[in-house]
Amino acid sequence: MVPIRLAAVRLRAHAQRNLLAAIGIAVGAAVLAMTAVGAVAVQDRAVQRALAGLQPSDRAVQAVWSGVPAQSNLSYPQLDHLARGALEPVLHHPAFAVEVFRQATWGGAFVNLGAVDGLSRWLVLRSGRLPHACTPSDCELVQIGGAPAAPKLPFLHVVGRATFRSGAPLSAYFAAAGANRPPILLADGVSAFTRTPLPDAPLIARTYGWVVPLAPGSIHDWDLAGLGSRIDQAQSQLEERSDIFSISAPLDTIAAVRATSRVAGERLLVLGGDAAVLLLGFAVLASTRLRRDYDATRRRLTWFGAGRGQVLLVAAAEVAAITIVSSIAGWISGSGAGALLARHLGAPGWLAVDHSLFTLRAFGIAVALAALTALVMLAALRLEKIAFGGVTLTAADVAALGALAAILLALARGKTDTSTLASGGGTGVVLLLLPGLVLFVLAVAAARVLAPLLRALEWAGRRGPPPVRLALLSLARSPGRVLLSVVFFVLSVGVALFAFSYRATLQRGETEQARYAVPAPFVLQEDLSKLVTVQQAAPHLGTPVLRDSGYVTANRGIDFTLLALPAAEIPRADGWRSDFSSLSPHALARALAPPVTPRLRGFDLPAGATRLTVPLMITGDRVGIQLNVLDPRGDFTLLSLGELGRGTHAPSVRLPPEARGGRVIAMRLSFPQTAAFVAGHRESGTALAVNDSSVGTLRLDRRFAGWIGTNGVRVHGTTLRYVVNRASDSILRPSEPLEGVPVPVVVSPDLARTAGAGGLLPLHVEDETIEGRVVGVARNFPSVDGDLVVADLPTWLTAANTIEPGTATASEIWLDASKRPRIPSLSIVSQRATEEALRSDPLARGSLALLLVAAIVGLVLAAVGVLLGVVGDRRDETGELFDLSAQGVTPAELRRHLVLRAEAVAAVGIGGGVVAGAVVSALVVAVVSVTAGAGTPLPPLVLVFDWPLVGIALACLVAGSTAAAGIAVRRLR
Amino acid sequence: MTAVEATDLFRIYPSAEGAAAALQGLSLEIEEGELVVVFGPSGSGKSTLLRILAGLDRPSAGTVRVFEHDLRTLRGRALARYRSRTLGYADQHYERALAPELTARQLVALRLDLLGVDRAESGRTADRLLERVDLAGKRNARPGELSGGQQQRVALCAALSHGPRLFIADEPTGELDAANAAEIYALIRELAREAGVTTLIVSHDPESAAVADRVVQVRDGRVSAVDGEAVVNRGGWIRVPEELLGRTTRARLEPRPGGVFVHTVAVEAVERAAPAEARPGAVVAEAVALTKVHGRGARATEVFHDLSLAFAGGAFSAITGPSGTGKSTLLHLLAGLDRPTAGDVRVLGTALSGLDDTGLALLRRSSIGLVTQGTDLVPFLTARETVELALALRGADAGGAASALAAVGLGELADQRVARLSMGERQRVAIARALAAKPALLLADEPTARLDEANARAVGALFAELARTTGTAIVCATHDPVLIEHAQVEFPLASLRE
Repeated sequence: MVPIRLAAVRLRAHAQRNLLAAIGIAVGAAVLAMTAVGAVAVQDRAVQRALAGLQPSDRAVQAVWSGVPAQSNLSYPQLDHLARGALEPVLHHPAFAVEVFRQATWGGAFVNLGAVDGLSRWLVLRSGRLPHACTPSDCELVQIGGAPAAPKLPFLHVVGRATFRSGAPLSAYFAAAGANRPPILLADGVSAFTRTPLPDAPLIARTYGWVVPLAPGSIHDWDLAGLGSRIDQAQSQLEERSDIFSISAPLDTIAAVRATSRVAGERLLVLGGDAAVLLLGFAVLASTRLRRDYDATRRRLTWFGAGRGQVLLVAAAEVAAITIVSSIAGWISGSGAGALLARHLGAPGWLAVDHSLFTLRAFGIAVALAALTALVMLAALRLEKIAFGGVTLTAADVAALGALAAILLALARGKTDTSTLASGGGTGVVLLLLPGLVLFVLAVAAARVLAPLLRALEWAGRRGPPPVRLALLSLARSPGRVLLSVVFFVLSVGVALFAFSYRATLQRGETEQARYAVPAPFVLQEDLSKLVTVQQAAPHLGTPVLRDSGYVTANRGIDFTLLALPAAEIPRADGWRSDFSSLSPHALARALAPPVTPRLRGFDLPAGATRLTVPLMITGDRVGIQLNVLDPRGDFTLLSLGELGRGTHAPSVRLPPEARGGRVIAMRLSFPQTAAFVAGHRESGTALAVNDSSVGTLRLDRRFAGWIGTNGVRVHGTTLRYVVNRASDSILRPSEPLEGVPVPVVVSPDLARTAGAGGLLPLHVEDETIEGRVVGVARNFPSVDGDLVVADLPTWLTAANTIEPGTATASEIWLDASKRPRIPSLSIVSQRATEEALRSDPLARGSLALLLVAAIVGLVLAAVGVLLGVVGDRRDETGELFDLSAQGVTPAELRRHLVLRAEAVAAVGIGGGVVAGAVVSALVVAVVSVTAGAGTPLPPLVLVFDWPLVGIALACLVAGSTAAAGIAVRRLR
Repeated sequence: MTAVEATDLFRIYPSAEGAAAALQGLSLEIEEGELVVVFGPSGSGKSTLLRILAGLDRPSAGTVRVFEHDLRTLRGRALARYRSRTLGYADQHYERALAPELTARQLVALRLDLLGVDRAESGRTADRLLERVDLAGKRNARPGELSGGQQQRVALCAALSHGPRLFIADEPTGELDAANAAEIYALIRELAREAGVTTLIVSHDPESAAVADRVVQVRDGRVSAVDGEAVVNRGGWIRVPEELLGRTTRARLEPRPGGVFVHTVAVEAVERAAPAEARPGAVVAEAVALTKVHGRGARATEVFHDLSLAFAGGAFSAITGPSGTGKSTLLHLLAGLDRPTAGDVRVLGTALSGLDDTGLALLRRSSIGLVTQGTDLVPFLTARETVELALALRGADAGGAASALAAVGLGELADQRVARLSMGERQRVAIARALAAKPALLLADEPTARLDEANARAVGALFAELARTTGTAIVCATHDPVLIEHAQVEFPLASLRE
C-alpha cells in the first residue's frame, strides 16, 4: 500500500500539473462517447425513417386468433391474458386488442362489426362524435365508410362517422369500406364488447387481434434487436395453449430496416477510430510531459531501495487515477454532448445514451480503453529512450510495417459499401482500425524524417539571432524530446483534416448525388398510377429522353440502362463529372451525333385533315391493316383500317387530334383476329401447330411507292404480296437512309469489353436487337445506375422504330426551368428538392455534425498539445531558463525561444498532419463507399479538400497555439 | 571480511562526440566497517564509481562485488533487494533525493515502509533518527521548508533508516558551508560507527579526511593514491602528483635501491606575464540599505536587513557565511535576478529598482557575468557552444571561448555536450563562460563547490588575475577557504547581518 499512498500524496500535491493531461484524455473519451451515442442515434433515426416508409399494415407485431368461441376451451379473458403475456416481451410495449366480425348481419344491418381498444387514437372524426367506452348494456359505435347502417339492437348505437387515421395498423382487420364492401362499425373497448349480448355471438366466427404498433417514435432501433427470436418464443408460448394463435410481424422488412440503420451507425466507427487514436496519442503526449517528474520520482524511489514493482505501482496508481477520473469525466460529458447531438438528430437523447453507453458492451469498451490509455501512458512514462534513425529497425518500425500490411489487406478487400457494412463480417473492425493504423504508420514515418528535418531547420537558422539558433539547436540536438509532440500534432491535425475533407467530400457528394439523380432542374416522367405519357401531358416541353432497359448476351449477359437523348443536350446535362470518361461531354456528343439528324420517313398527313382514306385493292385472304402515325408531339398513333377481304376498298378512319398533322411511317398487316382465335382453338385440341395464314396481294396508292416490306411481304412498286399468320405481323415501311448502319453508342467499360470487331455490339432492347457501335466509354452517366448505353435520341428512335415501327418514344422530359411546372398527371422530380432532401436527411446531418465535432476537437487538442508542451518545457527547463536569464537573455527573448520552439514543432506537425489527413481521407473515401445519408453513393464519392476551410482552420490553430504558448510563458521573467 | 571489492573497473560512455572513459581500470577494496573517503578532481570518476556500487550503472569491464553480491550480474529483484537492504545512498544533490511532497518524517520512514515494515515501527524509527540529528521539531516540515543543512541531515537519516551494510555518499556536503559540512561528516561518522556500517564517501572537501579510516585518491579513472601513498596500477601505471612534477613533460626513471628516481628531462615553456598591480577602482556594484524577506505572513523569513556593501572594480571580494545567511540571495539581488524588499542595488551607477525585467536583463548582458553552480547549463550545447552563446549574446567575438575553456582545464572537453560532463566540469564551464565575457561585474555562487582543491586553487587564481587585469569587480559567495584565500576582500555576511 505504500506506493498507493505515495501516489495519492503526489496526486494531491500536483493536481494542477495533472489537470491538463486529464482534460485531454477526457476530451478524447468524450468524443468517443459522443460518437457511440451519435452512432446509436443515427441508427435509430434510420429506423424511424424506414418505419415511416412502411405500409401501415406492416407497422405492427400482432397475435391473431380466429375462430368460434363455442369451439374453444379458452374464454376471451384467457385469450387476452395469454396474448398480452406473450407479446409484452417482444417489444416491451403493451398491445391493444381488436375484435372483428367480418361481413355479418346484426340487427338487420350487414356490416363489419368490431371493437378496438383506445379506438379514438386511430380515427379522424367526420361527423357526430366519437363513441364512449363500450359497456355490455350500452355500446356506442362509429361508422367508417359505406352507406349509413344501424343495427337494430338496443345496446348498439351509432354515434358518428369517421375515417381511419393515416398509419393506423388496422388494415389487416378492417379493409376500407368500398362500393362492394359493407360499412365498418366499431366500438371502443374489446373486453366490454365481447360481453355485449350479441345474438348467437358464441356461435359466430370472429377474429381477435392483439397489436403492438411499430409506429415511428414509439419503437427504437434497440427494441428491434433479437426481434425474430422473441417472436418465435411468443409464438411457441401461444401455440402451446391454442394452435389457432398466430403471430405476424414484418420481420424481413425490419431486417432490411436494421441493415440500413447498421450502415449509418457502422460508418461512424471511422470517427470512433479517430477519437481513439486522438485519445491514445494525447495520453502518450501527456505522459512525456510528466516524464521528467516521473524520472525524478523513480530515481528517488530507486535510491530509497524501492523494487521495480513498487516504482511501477506508484506510476501505475497515478496514471490509473488520472485515466480513471478523466475517462469518467469524459464519458459523462460525452454522454451529455451525445444526448444533445441525438436530440439535434431527432432521436431521444437520453434513451440513445442509455442504449449506447449504459450497456455492458459500452462499459467493457470504456474500461478497456481506459486501461489501454493507462497502459500507453505508463509505457510512455517508462520509455527509456525514443530514437529513430539509421537503418536500425525499432519496435515502432516493425509495428508500423505490420499496420501497413493490415491497411493493404483492407484495401485488397475492396470497397466497403452499404451491403458489406450491413452484413458486418469484420468490416466494422476494419473501419474502426483503419484511420488509426494509417495515422500510426504516418506518425512513425514522420518520426523517421523528423531528425533530419530538424537538423535541416537548425542549419537554415544558423544565421539567426541567438534565441532563434538556440531554439532550433535544442530541437535538432534532442529530436526525441519533441518527437511525441510532433507525432501528436500529426495525429490531431491529421484527424482534423480528415474530418474536414471527409465532411466536404460527403457534402459535395450530396450535391453530386442530387445532380446525378436528377440531371436537369426538373425531370418529368409518366406517373404509373395515371398512365398519361409525357407526350400527352407535356407535348413539346423540354428535352425528350428515352430511358429503357436492355441487355447484351455476351459475357453471360449484362443488363444495362439505355439512355437516349439528343446528342447536343449531353453537355447541358447536370451531374456530369470529368472522371466519368476520358472524353468530355462535348466529345461524347460529337461522337454520338449523326451527320444529319435522322427522321422517320413516310408521308405527311395534311395539316387540317381530320380523316384519312387509304384506297386499296386486295386479292387473296382477309387481312388486318393498321397504319403507324408519328404524331407531331413525338409519340405514335395506331390507326386501324379494319380487317379487309378480297376486293377494292377505301377505308377511312378518323384522325385523333394528336395524330393530325402527323406522318404515316408504316403499315402493319396482321392475321385476322377471328381466324387467329379459330386457329388457336383448333391448336388446343391437338399436339400439332396449326399453320393457318392469310395470303394475298395488296395494291396501294402512290403514297406507298418505294416502301419496303418485312416479315412475309414482298413489294413491287405499290403492289405487295403478303403472307401473315398468328406468329407475327408484317410491316410495310419506307426505306431509311441509315438503315443497316450501327447506332453510335457510349457504353460502360464492361459493355465495351464485350464489343466485337469495329466496336460493334448487338443491343437487346424491348424484344428488338439494335446493332450499336461503341464510340466512347463512360463509367457513369447522369441518372444511370449500373451499366449504361447512351445514344443520340433521334438516331436511336429512328433505328428502333425502323425495326418495329411505333415502339420507341421518349419516356421522360428533362426540363430546364426555374419554376416547377404544374402538370399533375406526371411524376415530377426536382433537382433542388432532391438535394434539399439529402441535406436535411437526419443521417447525413448527424454524420456531418460528428465530423465537424471531430475536426474541431482535433484542432483544439492540437492547441492543447502546444500549451502542454510549452507549460512542460517551462516547468522542466526552469533551471536552464534561469541560466539563460542570468546570461542576459531578456524575458521577451526567453518567451520567444519557447514559443518559437513550440511553433517549429507545430509547423512540422501541421505539415505532417496535412499529409496524414490527406492520406487517411483518400483511403477512407477509397474504402468506404457510403454517402452521408448511409446510402450507396451514385456517382461514387470523390475526395474533396475544402482548402479554404482547411486553411482557415489551420490558421486558427496556429493563432490559437501561439496564443496558448504566449499565455503559458506570459509570466516568464 | 571484504565489503567492497572492485577490480579493473572500466566505464565507457558513448556519445555523439566520441566515447568518454569515466573509469580506466580502477581497483579498490574496502573492509567491513571501514569508513573510506575518496578524493579526486571533477571528472576523475568518483561519482561513476559510486553509481556502480549503488547498482545504478554497470561497468563496461572489470569485476565488482559488495559483500556477497556480484554487481555485474545483479538484475531485477536481486538488484532491488540489494539496494533496499544492503545499501544506503546519499546523493550529492540532496534535494533530488527528497520528494518535495513528503514530510521529513515520511521521507525517513519511506524506506522502511517500502520494505514492508509496520507503519508504527517505521514512524518510531524515523522519529528516533530525526531526534538524533536534532530535527525532531521539523519532522512535519517538507523539504522546501528546511535549510540546506537540514535537508542533508534528513537525506542522511533516510539513507540510514533501514540499517544498511554499505553506506555510500556522493559529495554529501557539496552545497553546505564549512560549519554545516563538518557537522554532517561528524554525523556520518557517528551514525556509521553506531550501526557498524561500511561507509564510502566521495568528496573533494579535505575536511572529510578527518573522519576517514582511509583516504583514497582517484585520478583519471584510477586509484592514484591511498593515504598519501601512490598506487601502482596494473600495467605499471603510477600517477605522480602535479606538485612534484611541476611542468615536466618528459622524465627518465632510474632504479634506485628501495625505489625509483624520476629525473626531469623536459619542462613545458610558459610565458609568464608580469603580474599587474592591484589597483582598486571605482565602485562597480553597491548594495544600499538592502532588506530581503522571503515568504509572507507568518512564514516570512528575513534574510538580511539594511545591508550596505560596495564592490570596487579590480577587486576580488568573497561573501562568506554559513548556509542560510543569504549569500546566494545577495548575488541574485546584485544581478537583478531578484528584487529587494527594501533598499536598492546600484550597478555601474544604475539603480536596479528603476529598471524593468528587460532592462535588468540587458544590464546583465552588457555588464554582469554570473557563475552558477553549473547544474542548470543548457544540456544539449557543448562546452564551447555554451561559452560562445554567452559571447554572442554580448556581441563579442566567439574566438575567446576556446581559451577560456582551456584556462579552466577543459580544452580537451570543449566539444563534449554539457549533459555528458561531470558536475565539477559543468561548474568549470560556467566559470569559463564568465571569464570569457570579461564583464564589469562577475558574480559567482559557490564556484568551487564541486571542485577539488587543485582546481579550486586554479579558479581562485584565475579570478584574482581577472580582477587585476581587467578591472572586473568579482564577487564570490563561497565557503571554500581556498577561494577565500585568494580574495582581496571578505564580507562575512553573518556578522554583517547582525
